[in-house]
Amino acid sequence: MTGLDSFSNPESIGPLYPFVGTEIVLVIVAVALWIGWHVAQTRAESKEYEAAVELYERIGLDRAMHAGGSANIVDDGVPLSSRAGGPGTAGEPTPPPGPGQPRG
Amino acid sequence: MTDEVGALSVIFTEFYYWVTVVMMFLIHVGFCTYEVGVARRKNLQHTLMKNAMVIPLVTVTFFFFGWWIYFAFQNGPGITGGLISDDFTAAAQPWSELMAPHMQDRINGVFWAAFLLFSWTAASIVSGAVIERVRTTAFFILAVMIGSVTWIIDAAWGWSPNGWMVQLMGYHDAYASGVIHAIAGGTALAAVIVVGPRIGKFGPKGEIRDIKPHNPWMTCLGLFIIYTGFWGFYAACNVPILDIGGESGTFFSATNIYLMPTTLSGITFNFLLSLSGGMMATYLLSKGDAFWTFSGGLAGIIGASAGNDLYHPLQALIIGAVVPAVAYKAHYYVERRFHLDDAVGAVAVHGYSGFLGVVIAGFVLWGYPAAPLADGASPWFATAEGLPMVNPLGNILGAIIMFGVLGFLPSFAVCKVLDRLGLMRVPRAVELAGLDTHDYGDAYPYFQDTETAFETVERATALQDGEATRPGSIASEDARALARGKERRTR
Repeated sequence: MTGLDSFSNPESIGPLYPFVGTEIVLVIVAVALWIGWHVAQTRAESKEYEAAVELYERIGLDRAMHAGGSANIVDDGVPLSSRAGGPGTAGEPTPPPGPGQPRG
Repeated sequence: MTDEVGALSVIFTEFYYWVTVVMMFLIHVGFCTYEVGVARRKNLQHTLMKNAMVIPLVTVTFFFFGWWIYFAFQNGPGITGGLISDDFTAAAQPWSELMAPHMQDRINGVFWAAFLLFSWTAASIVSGAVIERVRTTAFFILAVMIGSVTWIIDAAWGWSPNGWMVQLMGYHDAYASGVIHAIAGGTALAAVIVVGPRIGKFGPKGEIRDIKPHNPWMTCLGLFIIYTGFWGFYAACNVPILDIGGESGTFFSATNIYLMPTTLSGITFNFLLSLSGGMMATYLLSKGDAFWTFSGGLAGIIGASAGNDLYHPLQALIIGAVVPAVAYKAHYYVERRFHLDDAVGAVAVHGYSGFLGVVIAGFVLWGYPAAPLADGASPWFATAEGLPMVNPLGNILGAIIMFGVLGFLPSFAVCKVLDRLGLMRVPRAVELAGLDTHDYGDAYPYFQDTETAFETVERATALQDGEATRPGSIASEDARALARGKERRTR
């Protein structure tokens, strides 16, 4: 039995929920879930930004901007520093894309 | 619940607060709509989710400790007494049987929810000021801080008939000019200072650049929706039916939160007249700018709210016009003088307006009884009947406590710690590319996306601080900053 088995005498009824007496355990579990959620969210966001920064460092911001999202960016895996005529970053004059270097 | 009249009274009160909660939900809808409208296309989904997640995070924490704080902290503690432990605090503990469906209680849940919706509003006000560059992590922590800790402490102190600010100082703030808006404005100001302006907002010679909203109509619609929810907020601040007859016999009336008489009819006059004053003043000042006219209407209500239980409607009109005018001027002065980038004018509309509204109420309502006298209370100023008296000093100090002591200071401290840990602001490369770019992708994938004139300026500004023109240099700097933050967090 989890709780009530009759509503025939409402004046004598107090809590309506099942498992009366487990409230403190429920609070402990819920607080742990809440704190765990913040920790997980903080870690996920940090990883997300690390990945974004790593990508933008590799391909340059020019190709990241207005690409409709990172999923659409063609990442050929070639570091920018060694890519002849590769796209630049903020404010740098950007040469036209060379053969095999599609713009995002 | 054994006689029909008694049951109707209880169930009417239960239903009354339930309706206000549903209406107040619109405030959050409005804030989300408004903020997304203000944000640029590359930041829309991040902006929406940052504010939307206020709902669950503040709700769970308000269940855990926010509601208990309201009843337990009314003496400070340590100002006029200790931590309170009575039937009310016992009922507000998260493990209490009354924090759940219970046949002998009809009010705890709806009353809790009414206060909770105020909590969402307080957090949501802060959200708009820091859009497009704050880390979601940082905002979530700030939201919990103001939504479930600092604002509810100020409510315990100044928005309860037994609160020490009411009993000692005669503080009067019926519809929360200070207890919601000034504290949220102070919190937002600290966050804006620590997080810094959006890239490109200020030019090298200090010139201010206008960062246009991606959808001004959505912004105005959001403000319209906030107005609508504000009706529910006003109703929720009242006790709908209470015997206030005292020695003269039975007399039922609505009361404000301090159990002093007012009427739903009266506050309806004042709500509309203060809204009108705000819109009229800011329409003229801003030369018909839609964003400021709508925001001015909101600021008008906020400015008159502290005394809208008692003002004459034409007093509400005048106060509702003067306050937004001052807030409007103050917004641009602060922006120009201190280079603070408050993306939605939240500090002005809520902070300055709320602060001024509380101060004005202290003068205009000087001499009114503030609340019934609590046991053992000795007010600074008392009416002839010995009740705490509304007075200018109490409200001026109260406004400082709301905006500065409970608003600005805790927020500044928390933001500084978050900044030190590298959790306050997104990396610059992410900000330039757009907060949605890596996480979400474009919110409007079927519409052409081209670089805006401001983005050209934004990139040039970023480069001034960057490492010359080496491709990927800004991201490289960001990578180093992220590593430093990570190292500090793991220490």
